[in-house]
Amino acid sequence: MIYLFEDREERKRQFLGGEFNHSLIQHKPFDCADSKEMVDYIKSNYRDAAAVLLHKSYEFGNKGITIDSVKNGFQNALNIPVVLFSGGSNSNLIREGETITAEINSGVMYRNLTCFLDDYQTNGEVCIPLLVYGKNYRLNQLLEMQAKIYSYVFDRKENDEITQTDKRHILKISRAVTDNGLIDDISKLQNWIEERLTNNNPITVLLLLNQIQNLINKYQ
Amino acid sequence: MNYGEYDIIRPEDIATVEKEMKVLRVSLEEPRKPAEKGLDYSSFINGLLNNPNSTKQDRERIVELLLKERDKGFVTKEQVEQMILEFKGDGGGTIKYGSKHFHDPKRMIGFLYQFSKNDSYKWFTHAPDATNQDFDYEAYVENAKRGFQAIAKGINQYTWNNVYNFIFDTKDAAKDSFNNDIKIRWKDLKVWCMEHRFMHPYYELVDDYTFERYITIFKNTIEFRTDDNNMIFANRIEDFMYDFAIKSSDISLEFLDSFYSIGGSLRVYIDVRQLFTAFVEIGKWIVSNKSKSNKVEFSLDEAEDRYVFSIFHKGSFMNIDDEKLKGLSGDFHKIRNILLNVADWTIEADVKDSSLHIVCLDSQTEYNLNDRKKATVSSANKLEAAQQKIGGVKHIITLYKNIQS
Repeated sequence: MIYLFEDREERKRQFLGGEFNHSLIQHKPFDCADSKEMVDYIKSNYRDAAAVLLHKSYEFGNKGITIDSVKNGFQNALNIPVVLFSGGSNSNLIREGETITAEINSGVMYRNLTCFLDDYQTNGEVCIPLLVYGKNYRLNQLLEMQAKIYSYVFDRKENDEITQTDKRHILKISRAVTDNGLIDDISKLQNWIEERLTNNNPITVLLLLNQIQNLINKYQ
Repeated sequence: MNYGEYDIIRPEDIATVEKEMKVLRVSLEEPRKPAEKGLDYSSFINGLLNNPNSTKQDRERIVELLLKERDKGFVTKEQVEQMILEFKGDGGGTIKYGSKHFHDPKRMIGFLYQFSKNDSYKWFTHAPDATNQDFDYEAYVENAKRGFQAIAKGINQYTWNNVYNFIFDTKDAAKDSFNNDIKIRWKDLKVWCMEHRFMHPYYELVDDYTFERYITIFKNTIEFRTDDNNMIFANRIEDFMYDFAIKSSDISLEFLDSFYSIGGSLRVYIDVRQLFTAFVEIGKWIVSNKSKSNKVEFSLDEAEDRYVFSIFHKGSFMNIDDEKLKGLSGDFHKIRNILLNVADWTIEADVKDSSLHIVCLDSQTEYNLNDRKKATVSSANKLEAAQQKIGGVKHIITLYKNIQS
C-alpha cells in the first residue's frame, strides 16, 4: 500500500482532475499524538506501507512532530522510502543507504502517480524513479546527465582535454544518477574517467561525449 | 541593520506606558484591524516588553495592562494572548538582557522551519498554488512583521538580519550563502504587488529571470536541500572547499565515501552563510599551517537527530598558548561567534605533547547579549584530555535535524 499524506485537498483534486481512487493508495491523516510513540504508531497503523508520499509542509496535529521525525519514524519502523513533495520543490532522486527515495515537485508527482501505482500493481515493488522521471525513467535520468555534461563543456573544443577540475564536476553530475538499475553502468563510466586520468591517458571532450552517447544508446 | 520599529522605544516610554495606553484607549472607541496602516500596536507593545532598559516590574505592569485591554479593540484578543504567552512562557519571544544565555542551534532550526510550515511565512519562499490565489502583499508583510520577533527568538543576530532584510523593506541588502547581495528581494516586488493586487509575484520576470530565481537563492541560504542535485550538501561543500575555503593547489582534499553517501540525502535548516563563513576561517587556519601537512580529509556521519561533519587536517598539530586555547580572543573567538546558535563545534587536536578535545560550542556554552545587535560568546572553551593521539587537527561540526529531542 502507498500512503499519501496531503493536506491540500484542493491542489490534489486540481492535479488529479477530481477525486482519485486507486486500490493501492490510501489518503489518510497522520495523527500520531506523541512523537515518542511514533514507531509503534506507525507499526500499528501503516504496517502494510510500501512507500509514503508526504507533503513537505504537512500540518501535524502534534506540534512536536516534524517532517524529519516522521521520515525517521517510517524508516525506523518499516524501512521504506518516504518521498517528500512540495509545490516549491524541484525533483531529485536521493539514495539513503540502500533505499531510493526522492524529493519531488507536487505537479510532477501527481502527473506520474497513476503509472507509478500501475507499475507497483504489476511488479509488486515500488519504483520511486518512475515517480520522478516517468515511464522511461532510466533513459530520462541518463539524458538529464548528458544534458548537464553537454552544458558544462559547451564552450570547449572537441579536442580539448578534460582536466582534474573538469573530472570533479563531471563525476559530481554523474553521481546524481542513483537508480539501482543504472549504478553499474555509471560506475563503469566513472572508473573509466578516473583510470584514464590517473594513468595520464587524456580524455578529449569528444571522446567523453561519445562514451556517454554509447551508454545512452544502450537504453534507447 | 534593521530590526523594526521597537528598537527606537526609549526607557522613559516604559514609565509612561500606562498614560500612553489610556490615551490610545480613549482614541479607539471602535475596534480596529490589527494590520491597519500606521497602527501597529502589537509591534509597539512588543517593543515595550523587549526594551533592554525595562525592568521586570515594568514588564509585569505592561502585561497587567494588556490583560485589561483584552477585548477592547486596542489589539485583538489573540494578539494580546500571544504576546503574554511569549512573555510569560519558556523564554518566548522575549529576549532577556543581562541574564545567562546558552548556545542553542535548535532555535534557529525552529525559526527557519517556519518558511516551510507556517502559512504566515511560507509564501515568501513558495510558489503559489490553489490555496493562495488571493495573495495580498501588504497584509501578508504586515502580519509577518508582527510575528517575526516571536518566531526569531534567540537566534544568531546575523541570521535574524539576513532573513529580515530579504522579506521586509529595509535599506540593507540580504545576502546569499557566499555573502554576496541577493539582487532582488521582496521589497523590489512591492510596486508590482501593489499594481497586481492578490497576485503572488513568484513567476514575475524581474530582470533576465523570474523572482523564483532569487527566492531559490534565499532558500538555499537557509537550508541544505535535496530537491536539486547541484545544491545537495555534498556538492555544495565540495565546491565550496575547493573554490573558496581551501583554495590552495598544493593542499590535497579527500572526500570520504561517507561524505558522498550521507551528503546526498542531508537535509537541514541552517544559516548556510554563517556556516560557510566559519569554513572560510577554518580554511585560513589550514592553509596557514600547510607546512605541517598538506592533507585534508572530509567525512560525514549521521545519527537520529544530527549530522556530524568533520574537517580533518591530517598530520597537523596546534601550537597555541593556553590563553588562546580558551577561545575568548582572536580567530578562535571570531569563529565561535560566527557559529553561535548555528552549529556545535569541537576540535580534536594534537597539541604540544598531548592531545585534546576542545569543545568550542555546545549546549553549555554561554554568551552575553549586550543589546539585540551583539551576542558574544562569554564562556571559555572546555578542554578535555583525549584518550589517544588524534593524528592531526579535526574540526567537528554538528548540524541538527529538525527533530525535538
